[in-house]
Amino acid sequence: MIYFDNAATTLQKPDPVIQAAVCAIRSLGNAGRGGHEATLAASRVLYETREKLAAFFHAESASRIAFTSNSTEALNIAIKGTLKEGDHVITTQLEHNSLLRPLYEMEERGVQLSIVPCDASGRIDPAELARSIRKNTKAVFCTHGSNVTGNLVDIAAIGKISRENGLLFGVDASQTAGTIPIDVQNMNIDILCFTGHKGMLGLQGTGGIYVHDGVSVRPLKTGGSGVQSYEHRHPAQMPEALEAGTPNGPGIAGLNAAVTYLLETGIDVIHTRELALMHRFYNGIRVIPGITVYGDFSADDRCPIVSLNVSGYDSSEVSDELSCTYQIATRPGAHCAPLMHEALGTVSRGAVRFSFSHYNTEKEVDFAISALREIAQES
Amino acid sequence: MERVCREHNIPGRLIPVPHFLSAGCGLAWCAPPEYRGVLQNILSDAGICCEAVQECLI
Repeated sequence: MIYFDNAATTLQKPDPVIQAAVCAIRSLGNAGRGGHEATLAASRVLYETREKLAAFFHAESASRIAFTSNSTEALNIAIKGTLKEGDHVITTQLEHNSLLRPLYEMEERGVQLSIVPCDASGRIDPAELARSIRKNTKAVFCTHGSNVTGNLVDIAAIGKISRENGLLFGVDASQTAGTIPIDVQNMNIDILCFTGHKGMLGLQGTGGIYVHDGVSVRPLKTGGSGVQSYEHRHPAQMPEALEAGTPNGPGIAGLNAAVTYLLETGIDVIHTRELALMHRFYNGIRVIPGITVYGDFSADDRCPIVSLNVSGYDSSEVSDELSCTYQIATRPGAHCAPLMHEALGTVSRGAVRFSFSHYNTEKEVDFAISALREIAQES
Repeated sequence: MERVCREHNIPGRLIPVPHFLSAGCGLAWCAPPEYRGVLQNILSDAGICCEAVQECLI
């Protein structure tokens, strides 16, 4: 199989990630529960991973990073833990349902929601976002990169606008963490939500949330914390405040190894490689009659994603043909990003998304171009 | 805390917090009492906050 669905999850993981997870399964106890060697080993792995992630995202300290099971959980914590009735919040048309649905839920609880539209190519203008600010605006939550077009949002500019206006700024880094540099302090990011299994190259079931020092977030879940057991209330200090129950020790051990891999390999090296593969694919398919490509390819501030349609076909038909006849894995449909597809005019048939990893090869890309040429000729 | 103590050759180890000191679980660094002063200085220099320093018979 040729795997071009890396925006959903990266299938190929570095060997040290797999080895670390297997080793953890065989040796780690439950972190923070007791003082025997197996639990201490787990606590050490978790703390070291927090330290690495804090350095990776330029956080103030390891304690500002809490582990979650994915970006969705982190976004639910961020949105439901900061907004209340009467607040106004701003987001964009690019968002994934993992961000939109918690916001819609809060809208039902009395939060006012503004959604900043994108232009025809799927770009967001930070100045237009600034014009949406009201007296009661509490926060801006937005993605760092569209999971449909791959285009980045200028989060540094939005962070600056947010800080100047006293707004909380939360970022969904699902598509960018691990491949695009993120500096939470320089970018004025108050809350960063990330997943471990995409660009970070870790395992599914891992992720995290960074919370800027001084920002208060109500926990989404409470329970066992390993400390302050006789208190009725869950501990208020980070990171325990946003973690309850047994953490995913093996997954976090894998994430630890993944961060080391990313740093040793160089995320700039990885991203350059992925963009080269993406451009090779884009340049090969854009000239094929009957193929429509979505998004802005005029600059390299983007994720390695190409979404397209073939004239006369539903996206699911094309993706299925690619899978069954050519053994090429892609993602059709709406990509859990309904507003983005409304903007692109692709609600009725979705789009076929190709998303690349640095593990892909030029040969695989060229084969996919040939496959699409054959499919398009049949239409 | 464990790493800083090891780096400065402070003897001791992480233990479950004795119940008579705190009834809420958690971990404590257990070291000989004569290291109290140097330990507190090292933790302070490293920017590590500790909830309390207690002396007891283990």
